[in-house]
Amino acid sequence: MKEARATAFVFSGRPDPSWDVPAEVVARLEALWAKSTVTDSVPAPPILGYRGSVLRIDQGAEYRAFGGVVTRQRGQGEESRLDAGREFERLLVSTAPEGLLPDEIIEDPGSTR
Amino acid sequence: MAGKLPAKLKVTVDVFSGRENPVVEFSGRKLQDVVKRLRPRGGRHPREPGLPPVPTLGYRGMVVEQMGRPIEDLPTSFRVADGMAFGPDFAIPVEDESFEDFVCGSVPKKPFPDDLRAQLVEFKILLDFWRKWRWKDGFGFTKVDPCRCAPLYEPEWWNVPSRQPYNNCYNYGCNYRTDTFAQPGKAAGTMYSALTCSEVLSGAIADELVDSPGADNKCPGEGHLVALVVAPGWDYHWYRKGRDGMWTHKPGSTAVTNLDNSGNTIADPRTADRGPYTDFCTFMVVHHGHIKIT
Repeated sequence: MKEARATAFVFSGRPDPSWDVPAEVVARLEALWAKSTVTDSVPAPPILGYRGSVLRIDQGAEYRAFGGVVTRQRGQGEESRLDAGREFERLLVSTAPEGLLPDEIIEDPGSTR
Repeated sequence: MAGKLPAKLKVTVDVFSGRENPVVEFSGRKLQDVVKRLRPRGGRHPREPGLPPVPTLGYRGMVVEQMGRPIEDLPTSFRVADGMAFGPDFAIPVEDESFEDFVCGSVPKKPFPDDLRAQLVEFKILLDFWRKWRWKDGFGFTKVDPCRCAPLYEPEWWNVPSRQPYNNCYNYGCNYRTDTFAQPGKAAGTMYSALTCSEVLSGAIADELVDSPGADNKCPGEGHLVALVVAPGWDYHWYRKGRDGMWTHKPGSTAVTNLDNSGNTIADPRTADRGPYTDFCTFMVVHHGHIKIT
């Protein structure tokens, strides 16, 4: 069983919210990644407001999702792939416990916040 | 075309009230000597404190203006007084600290009042309206920092793995590293209970920050200025005014930056692009050593 934890980069004053991600969701997320197309174009997040979410898998890879692109970092290697419809990002933030994230992020991680 | 005329310096002796001020012009070989005398002597020289806010009668310095072809290494116009060159945001000694005496003695038929030399000796404080005079940046004159008590902008110090993730906008705003992601009011046991201007402000006041709603983006005499903004019900954020008068911030665990959400530098947080932090709450003053945050 892979232990995994997500963090949404969203706040400035308050600590960013983190939560555990169930193993079955991790498997779905990794499957989404596997079938995605490689891209060189990674959008820059805004300075203030929602800046993306990250999935950290214990002793494994780290996936950072923002703006329709997911970047995987494993060891020294890094690769970015398209996140069509922000499916990866939406699924990841949907696992946050109720009340932990602002509703706008849950509903639409692509919103300005 | 003024730019194609030979270079010339016009020096106006600012001394009269009713009569027209005397003017001396330098060109040719004499000009080269004058330019040398006016070059900056180096070192930073903040404005003298206590400048009178209104024009004073009598000698007020010499206004130097470039005419014709531009002269490199000199601002377009500036004021020389008591051996110092002054512009809107610089003050620096010139190479020849007796430049004003030199001007007085440089013309055979002196157009100056008889007692001007006496006034020069007495004149030790810059007066009145040098702010009016335009100048161009980048000619070797050192800018004076408008907020001398403000912290340095040193992102390279904050943006390292041992500090960046553990210090937030409040730490950075207060220029106080705690490595605890400090929260307004927490050190005083009265942390905010809602994400509103009034609640976060109360917490900051408990931490001994001084509410200064009328600061109007002006540097305080002591300490440095910070600004509180809120994303209602969501989060709060702080900016701090730097030594150069511009604002910088540290969005949460991310890197310190001098840019707003539109990629512009921040002259005033009230008008900056603040993303979701739509409520501008207030300016506050951080008196160094007075605050306690955690």
